[in-house]
Amino acid sequence: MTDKHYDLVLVKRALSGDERAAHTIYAMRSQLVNYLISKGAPEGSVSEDIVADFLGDCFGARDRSDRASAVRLLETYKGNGPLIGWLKVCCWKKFLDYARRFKAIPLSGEEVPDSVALAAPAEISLEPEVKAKVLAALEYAFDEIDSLQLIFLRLVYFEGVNQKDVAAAFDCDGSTISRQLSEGLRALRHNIDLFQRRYAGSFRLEWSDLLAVCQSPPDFLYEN
Amino acid sequence: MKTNLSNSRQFKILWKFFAKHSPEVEARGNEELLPEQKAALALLASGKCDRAAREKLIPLLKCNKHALTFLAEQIKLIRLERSGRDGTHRSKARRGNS
Repeated sequence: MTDKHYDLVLVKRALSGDERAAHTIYAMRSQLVNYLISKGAPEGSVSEDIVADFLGDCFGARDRSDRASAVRLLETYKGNGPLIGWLKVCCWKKFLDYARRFKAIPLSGEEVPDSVALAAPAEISLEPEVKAKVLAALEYAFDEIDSLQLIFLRLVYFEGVNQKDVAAAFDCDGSTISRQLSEGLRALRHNIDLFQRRYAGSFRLEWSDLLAVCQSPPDFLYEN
Repeated sequence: MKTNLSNSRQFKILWKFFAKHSPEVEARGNEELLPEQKAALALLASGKCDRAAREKLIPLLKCNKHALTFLAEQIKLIRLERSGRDGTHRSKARRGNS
């Protein structure tokens, strides 16, 4: 069996629900991120997010509200070349779409569209009780986090600002921002755990469950 | 973290949910920015703020969602202008070499 045939079989297995096959494809993530960066895409969250979105699209994970008719990008792979090459080309196209969209953002008082919401997913309803508890935990966690760390997290991870540019604005080096981001996210997770231990009684959510609850509709999430 | 999502994606999910559903964020973060606040944020974006001025802006950035969005836009704008300038310099240099 040639590599191309092997790749096509792998894709078919992944699309039919074989988790190991899906994981094998998902494990190509770092190669795709490196490829985007080598082609000139910015390092860090922008490239990582584009690859994460792209892999979600490969499995139709961002269109789960109507799973039966979900478009799964991998279905268009016909085995005419190595899978990794095909993924790289498609992923680069996705980056170019993103870059064009970014240039079109007007500088006004309006909120900048979040790059996550490239496709507008359908809402899922959440039990009001669950929502209130999740919100209380988040409110506590965001309130307890260091102000500067939260600002960096929002600028880099939410607004998509380059880490080096944030470092230049705040007169520090890039490694400081990188460290603050890691510490900030760790603190956020710690604070949520702490809140749940102290105040949430029997209602406890694991980190990945919390992410799944907050995401609407749930995306391509699974435990490794 | 036992998830296949990047750190940025994880943060985005939580912040987006929080900002959308928390009445506190909605209530406190909606004031329009004053011209002097915009000027101060633009100065911060340019990297020309001193430490005291930066620290003065932190509460505004923490509490007002327009402030953080405005700062992000300004930083991106500066980057675009800079990369445009660099591109012009590069093409001039190429023309000069040929």
